[in-house]
Amino acid sequence: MPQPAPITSLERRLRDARPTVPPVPPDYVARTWAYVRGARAASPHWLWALGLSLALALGAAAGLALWWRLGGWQLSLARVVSLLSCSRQWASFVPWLAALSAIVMVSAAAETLLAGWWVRRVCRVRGCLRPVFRSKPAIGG
Amino acid sequence: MSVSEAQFEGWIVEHYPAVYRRCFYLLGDPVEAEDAAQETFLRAFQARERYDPARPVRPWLLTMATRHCIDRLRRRQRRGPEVPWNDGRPAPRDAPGPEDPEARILTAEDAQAVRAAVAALPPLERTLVVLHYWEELSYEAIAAQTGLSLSAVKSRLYRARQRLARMLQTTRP
Repeated sequence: MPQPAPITSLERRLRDARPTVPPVPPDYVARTWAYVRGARAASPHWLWALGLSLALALGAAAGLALWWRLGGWQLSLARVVSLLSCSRQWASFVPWLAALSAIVMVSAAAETLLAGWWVRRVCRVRGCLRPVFRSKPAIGG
Repeated sequence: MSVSEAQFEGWIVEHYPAVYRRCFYLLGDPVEAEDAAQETFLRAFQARERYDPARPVRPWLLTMATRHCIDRLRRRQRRGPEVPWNDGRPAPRDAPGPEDPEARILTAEDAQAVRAAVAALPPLERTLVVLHYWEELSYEAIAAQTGLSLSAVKSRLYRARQRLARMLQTTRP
């Protein structure tokens, strides 16, 4: 059975195998700045915070409006039961329900658009659309 | 301390080649090395408030680059084996090598075999081998840049050499 190579020989072979480092791109400063600035602009934190705050605010406003419409502080289980059992009042409740649904849908659509924009931006910076990004480093130092 | 954008640009100008070289040695692919170098500078920019001006900036950047490359190697490990550093050119130390063309070819082939064996090591062992033999860092510097203890660096390097010796015993020139 062959013996492993002596460590000293192995160390020499390891040093001799050091690869050639390709030259750095001539515009590396501009590219690196573009990457740093692009990623900063694409930072998701404030976008997500904004989207979430917007959705929460809209949801809270809609909930408050609905609660006030249903009787505010006087709202009791009995009133809810009477609302559900009385067809005339139930009918007046339907537009509010529709408004609430619309608000939720608009908010969800806005968040989807924001998320899509963010994903595209991050993709462009991180590599999915790298060739496009590389051919046109718009921001440079 | 706040690092101004002009000062940060100075860091890029001065230290990018060293960061890129570190990333290339660790990752083996020029495109991925460029990505990793840019990501290192992004992280440095985000962390520039924490930079201690009493310490030199290059080791700080190289530490970030090394740890980022280890993460990349770990992610890559799940994708399967690869043979990096295969740019079709001989290693620089092969260039002024033996006069005999046949010997030169053998040397280049051996270098390629050694690189393939290094690429087959687990990410941390590969990193230690690269830092010690290609970047020629001391054990202490490696410990500082990888976050390992000195004894861990020595024992893992020893284990890596044993593993490499086993892998290379059949390709010894």
